[in-house]
Amino acid sequence: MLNEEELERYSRQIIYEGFGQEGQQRLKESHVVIAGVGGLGCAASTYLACAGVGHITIIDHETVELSNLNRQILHWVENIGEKKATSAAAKLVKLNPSIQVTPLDVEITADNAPDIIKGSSVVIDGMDTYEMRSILNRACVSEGIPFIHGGIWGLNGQVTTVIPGLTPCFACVYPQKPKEIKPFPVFGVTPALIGIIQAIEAIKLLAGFGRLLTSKMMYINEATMDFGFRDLVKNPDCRVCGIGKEHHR
Amino acid sequence: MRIRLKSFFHFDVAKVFGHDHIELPADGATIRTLLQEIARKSQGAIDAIDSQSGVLDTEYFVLVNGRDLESLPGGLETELSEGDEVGIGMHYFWGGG
Repeated sequence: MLNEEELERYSRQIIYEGFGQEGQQRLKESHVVIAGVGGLGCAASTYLACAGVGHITIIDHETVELSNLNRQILHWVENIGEKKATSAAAKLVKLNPSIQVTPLDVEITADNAPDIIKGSSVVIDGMDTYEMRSILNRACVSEGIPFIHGGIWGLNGQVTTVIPGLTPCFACVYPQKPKEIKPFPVFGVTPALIGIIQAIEAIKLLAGFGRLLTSKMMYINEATMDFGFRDLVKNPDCRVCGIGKEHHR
Repeated sequence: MRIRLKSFFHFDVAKVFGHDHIELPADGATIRTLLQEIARKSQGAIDAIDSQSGVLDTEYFVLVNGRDLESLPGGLETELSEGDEVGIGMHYFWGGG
């Protein structure tokens, strides 16, 4: 049940038609895993904490660097050298003391990913390598946990929501490692926008309203203000969710 | 005829064409001729047709009025009409920021 403070804190979203106290209660009972608190993860976790997601787990193994601060808004000058997971968790708890935030300073591997995400409601992709995303996608598919992918490059961004068993998974879309350019350019506003769209997807998914970015990739080019959607299809031979499924663990 | 262009990668079509659209001959313009014209005008910076196979390069995707080219029965030979909107993007790996 929502207490008086929660009813007041979330009053402006509770009055949204189709959400209500029931939607708020669902958020409170949810557990979101934020995989990476870089630009995407900082934005997504901030708004999920504000929205009242009851439990947020922050996973990141990196430390805060000065060059992160143009976009990773939960890390400040005073946090340089600290672990990103604890830096982000401390801010989120101050932002909303009524929720539980668990920092995990671990590197995600194929071995530990299923245990880390087990029992969670949704996983937000804030990773910055193809390998890590592939590991998370596989773990989400095997555990039946929705995976909200986001990616950015310069002023471009993309988002799709994967519902295991129903929609194409990340490996259907990216069966092989695509071309990668490092370090890639990034303005803070781009991961902010994409991370917030990931948060919106999570809120709709958890509370059960609206329409999701499933089976489609949304693209945004902020340089030209071009928006577009591409239909995605399940790959029947997908090595993760299709008949070509490889068994791990 | 005028085709509106969108780009979904770090390439600004306006820098090549001076605006966000391209003019093509009214008769027989297809996605293939559009992409060939884009490759020519961009001096190869956007070269979406594989020179060996003549099909869409696997690094690219093309959206025609919001529909993925792959889902169009005509593929690259799909005819274009005045006012159509074509988006082009690349399957680069995009990071987490």
